[in-house]
Amino acid sequence: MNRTTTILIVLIAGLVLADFLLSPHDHVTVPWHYPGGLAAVGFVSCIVVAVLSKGLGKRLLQRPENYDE
Amino acid sequence: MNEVHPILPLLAAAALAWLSPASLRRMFPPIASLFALFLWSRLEDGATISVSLVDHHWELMRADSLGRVFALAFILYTFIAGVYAWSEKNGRSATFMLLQAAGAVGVVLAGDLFSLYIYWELLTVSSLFLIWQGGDPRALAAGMRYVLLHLLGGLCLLAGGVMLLSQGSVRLDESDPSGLAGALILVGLLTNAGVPPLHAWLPDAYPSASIFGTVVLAAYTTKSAVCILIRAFSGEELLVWAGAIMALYGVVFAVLENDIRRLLCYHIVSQVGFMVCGVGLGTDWALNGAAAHAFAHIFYKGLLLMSAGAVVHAVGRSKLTELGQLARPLRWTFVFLLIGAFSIAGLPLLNGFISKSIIIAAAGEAHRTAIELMLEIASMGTFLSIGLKLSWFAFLGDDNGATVQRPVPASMTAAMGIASLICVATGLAPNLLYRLLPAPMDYEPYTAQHVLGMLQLLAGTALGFWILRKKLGTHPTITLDVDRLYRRPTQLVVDGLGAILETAGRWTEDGLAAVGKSNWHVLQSVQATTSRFRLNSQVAIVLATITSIAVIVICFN
Repeated sequence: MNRTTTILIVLIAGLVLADFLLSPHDHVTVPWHYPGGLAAVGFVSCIVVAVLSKGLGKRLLQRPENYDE
Repeated sequence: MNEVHPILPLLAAAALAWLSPASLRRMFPPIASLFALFLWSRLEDGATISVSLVDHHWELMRADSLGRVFALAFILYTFIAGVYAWSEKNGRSATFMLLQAAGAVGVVLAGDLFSLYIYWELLTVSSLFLIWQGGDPRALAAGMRYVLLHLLGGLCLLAGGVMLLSQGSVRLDESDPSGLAGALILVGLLTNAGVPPLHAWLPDAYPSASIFGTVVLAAYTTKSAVCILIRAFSGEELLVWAGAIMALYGVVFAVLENDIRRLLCYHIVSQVGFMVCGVGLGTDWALNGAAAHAFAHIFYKGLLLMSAGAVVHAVGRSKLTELGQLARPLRWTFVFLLIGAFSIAGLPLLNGFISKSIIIAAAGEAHRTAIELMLEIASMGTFLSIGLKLSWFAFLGDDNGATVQRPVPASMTAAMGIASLICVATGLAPNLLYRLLPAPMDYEPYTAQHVLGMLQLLAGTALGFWILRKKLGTHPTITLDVDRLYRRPTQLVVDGLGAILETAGRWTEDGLAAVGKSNWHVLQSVQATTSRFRLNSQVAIVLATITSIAVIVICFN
């Protein structure tokens, strides 16, 4: 686990803590409004979108650059 | 009637620029936009310019807060784009840039649907010529595809307007477009807004223009369509889903894209998706969000395209697989790109945060949970593809041999600087923008919840990107989009009809030659007409088809 990864994880932890301490969480109706919820959305959806896009590209959509020639 | 339409200086400057020597042409956009800005500042709510002509009451202008905020963005951007294009060698773009701006400002301030149509077609035609300024065969072909689709869209708008006229009024503040008329008008608007599946012209045509052309094109067409959507279709449920899906669609294609300008153009589709979704949600917050987002988007998308253009200008390459390690040689361009990238991602203190978030908050407020989540994911994807992927692979990352061949002109840097200033200023002082918005505005962007929520989303995305960065590198590929479904079939139809016409023309000629061997002059003029017709048969076929549809629609009324 390299240095950038560590820095990012520490940053996320700090933000989640700040969110927990500073934001009002009384009218929460959806899971991602809880502290850390949006960090999880960001991380998980990033992985999912990256993997899905690549799969879609490889299988269906992408062609070599000289396709039109 | 002492109102002066802000487009008058733009139109006058366009004509003057056309007639001027090449060295003077570039002065006209910045100067004209300052005059237009002055006229804009004198506009008051309800200011009207109308004329009764050919049995119709034309409302060439009806100013309201919605139209004014869009017009302001267009006029300011014309100034910036004019500065950016100062170093462009091809002087004709000045005229087309000014005509585009005039068309867009006309559209958002128009009072009735037929006046709107005139401005609309001005926008379409000037865009076409701006695309064609790109010069190479790819630009010519892309321009043809662009104009055919946009003429079709414009025709739908007109047909809907004609139907609406027979039902009542075509004044934009009075009419309630519903039924077939409403559907036709909506299709026309969605084509210009770039809503899938009517969107493929955008990543096809815009990057085919020159770097200056793309910078100009990106601002006007889609955003003016959004303005009219806000005016006429707010609360339309279809738009909520169309917008949310569009936001994700653009992002997926942007993640796959290798060419930096095409990537940014797919992003236009994604960001307009946010606006369309806001229009559909229809609440005060959502509509203000759509307008604010459009305003902010014009500047940060312009900034991004300007910096991408600067890279292409300096290095001569536009593909991520061929860029990298340019942060040091192109320091300022990198800084401005980052400002644009963080603006579009919605980082607090920049204008994206005070605009895009309103729409997401509006979705949450209206308890549209699925929509809210889709828009959050689209925001993630925006940061991923521009803030992370584009910045990393173009400016940092692996060295692919890209070197600076020529320096970035000072005019480009100045233009990027002005756009950045607007992004930062509205981010730090959102009320500069909020007081111009159409609906009453009580949204507070800088709360702990909003700020920390956005920072967490971005940080989570960054972690995901960093872990996967090797896999996210692009390859030298192109991505097929929905236009592939109709490009080849359309070409086959046009070729087929053209072949039929050529054969008919030949028969006619042979027949006439047999009959009129002694009437040489008659034969000559007939031959001249048919051969001219043969050369343009493809365009003639399409125009004839479109005209026939128009005639049929009007007759049905």
